[in-house]
Amino acid sequence: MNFKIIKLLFIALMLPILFSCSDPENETPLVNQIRVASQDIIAINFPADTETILSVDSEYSFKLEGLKSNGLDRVNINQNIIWSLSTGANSTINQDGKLSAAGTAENITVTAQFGYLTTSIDIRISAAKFDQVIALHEADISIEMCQTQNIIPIGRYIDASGNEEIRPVDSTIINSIEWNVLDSQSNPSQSAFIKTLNTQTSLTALAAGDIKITATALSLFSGNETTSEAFDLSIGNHLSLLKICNASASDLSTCSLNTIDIEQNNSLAIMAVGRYLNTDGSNQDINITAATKWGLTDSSVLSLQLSSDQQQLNITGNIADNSTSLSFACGDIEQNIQSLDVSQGIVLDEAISCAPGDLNCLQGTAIINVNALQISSLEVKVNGTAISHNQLFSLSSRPADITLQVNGNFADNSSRDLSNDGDLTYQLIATQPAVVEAVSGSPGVYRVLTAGTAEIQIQYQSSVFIALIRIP
Amino acid sequence: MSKAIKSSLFFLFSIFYPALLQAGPYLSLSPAQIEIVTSADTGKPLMLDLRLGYAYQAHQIELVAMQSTKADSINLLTIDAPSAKSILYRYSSEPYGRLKSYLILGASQIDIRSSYPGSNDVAETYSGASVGIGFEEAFKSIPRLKMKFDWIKLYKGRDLDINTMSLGLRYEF
Repeated sequence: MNFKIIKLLFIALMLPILFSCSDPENETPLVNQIRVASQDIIAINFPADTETILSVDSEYSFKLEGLKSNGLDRVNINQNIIWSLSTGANSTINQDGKLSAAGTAENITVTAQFGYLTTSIDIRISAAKFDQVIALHEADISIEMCQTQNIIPIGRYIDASGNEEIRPVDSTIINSIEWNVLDSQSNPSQSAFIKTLNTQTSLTALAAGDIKITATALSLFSGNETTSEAFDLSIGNHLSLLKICNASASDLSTCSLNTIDIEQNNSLAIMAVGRYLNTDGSNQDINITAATKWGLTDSSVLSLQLSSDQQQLNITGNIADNSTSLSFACGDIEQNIQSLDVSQGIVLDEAISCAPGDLNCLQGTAIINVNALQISSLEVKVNGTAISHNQLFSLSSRPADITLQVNGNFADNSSRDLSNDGDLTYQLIATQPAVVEAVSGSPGVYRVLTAGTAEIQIQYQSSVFIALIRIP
Repeated sequence: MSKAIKSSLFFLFSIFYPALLQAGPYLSLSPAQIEIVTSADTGKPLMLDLRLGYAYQAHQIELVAMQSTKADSINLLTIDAPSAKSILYRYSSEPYGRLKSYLILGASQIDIRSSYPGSNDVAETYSGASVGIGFEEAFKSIPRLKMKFDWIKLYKGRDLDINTMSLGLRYEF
């Protein structure tokens, strides 16, 4: 009888285990909610610059952004998005959001699902092909010298029937456009440049005045390289102040740098700040490092390098105990920059200046002092054995010579051999009788004369090391 | 009759003859942290874990009841495990030592509730096979009282795992 009860109990225990199984459908609501909550978002949408008209046979990567729970901030959502297209679409989309447009025109809806949130956008796949750029920007451009502004060039697209379609130049074409900046006489000008990075085109104005801009690109409609008409642009000058600040400064209206002290081999990041007069009479301070021209009186003392985003200038001290003048300007400078690719930034190995009386050029200077890297400690070895400061070190046998090897540890955590550094001094403390004597022409090398204790004071900058060596 | 079958029968037989085979009931009480694991984030509500069991040598069978003590938050999401129930079998390879480790097998059912602004509240029950490990050490002064730690995977799904970690006391009557 007992065996029967035991058997029933055993089965009772095993049944729940055997029949327990997961239920993925049951998991979805909770998993979706955690997915959305983990990003702290409450809504999703396609970014405002999402292209809604795409060319046939083209590719386009959709992006999705989320509205944070504070109702203000937006974040890009890159993972766990489910992408889909409306039923019957000939185009396809992969789960990275990359749409491959069909070979024929169609209207489709792209849907993105993130967690329990869903958003859609209507897309038209157009058979019209790019012909040429017909406008520099979708709206009028107002730009001041040394300012940078994003632009959305407008293109003309033509289909096989000759129907024209005017719309922003799509991401496939935008990277292939060659921009040319001309002066009012249609000669090449360095007063501005246009570049496209990650499908975003930006216009940077370097000097005030009237310029013309043309766009050259391959017309997919005609198969020929086509140059647009010249677009007129007037670059204004309402720049009232030019100064430099530490790149970490948060209040651009009050920051400034006149004298800069940096240590040798160390770097400091600065930025140029321009103050512009708004039409309402207020001032606006803007980081204009990218469009500022930079120069050095003595380029051996310092080196200058613009950061990759050109939002800051990195200054590195090369030669200690030297000073030089950093000059910076906005507008037309006296120095010749015709051979430079101004889109890479303008940094000259000479001082730069504005022509006297040139109202379309503002300049400034700052003195930069390069100080020696501060030493934090000295390490000394006697004939290869490390010794401690002011502690007696006994040699086991009497050598013919003692050689001191000195290593310096610096404030920036670097270290180097100072044994032959001209700023390192050795001072032998005299004893009676003399235990060692300095070997002429060989700093740090001493000839052993007799048994006893030799005391040598080693100094670099303010750091002193006393070597006490007992010679048997 | 194979050795394994003999062992199984011996174990089951022992349940009904505790006096002869030194078996006995026990009670354990522990705070437990539940981990609701997804690829995006993990919610960690707290529960109180009460167990009634019966031990014989290397084997234990226990009924588990857990009750929520504190919900957890992921940003504005509130996630809680109001209750959970399990039936577990525990096996120790060294039943007579002061320090024991256990292999745990069984089945569990756990209720999960969550709410997030702008979405419907979620109230789901997840059932599944459970597996885990446990460790316990008897107090020298009161050998019937043990300090125990368990980690159990209560539920393993496609996109969701639910684990529990508990540290508490077990008393053998």
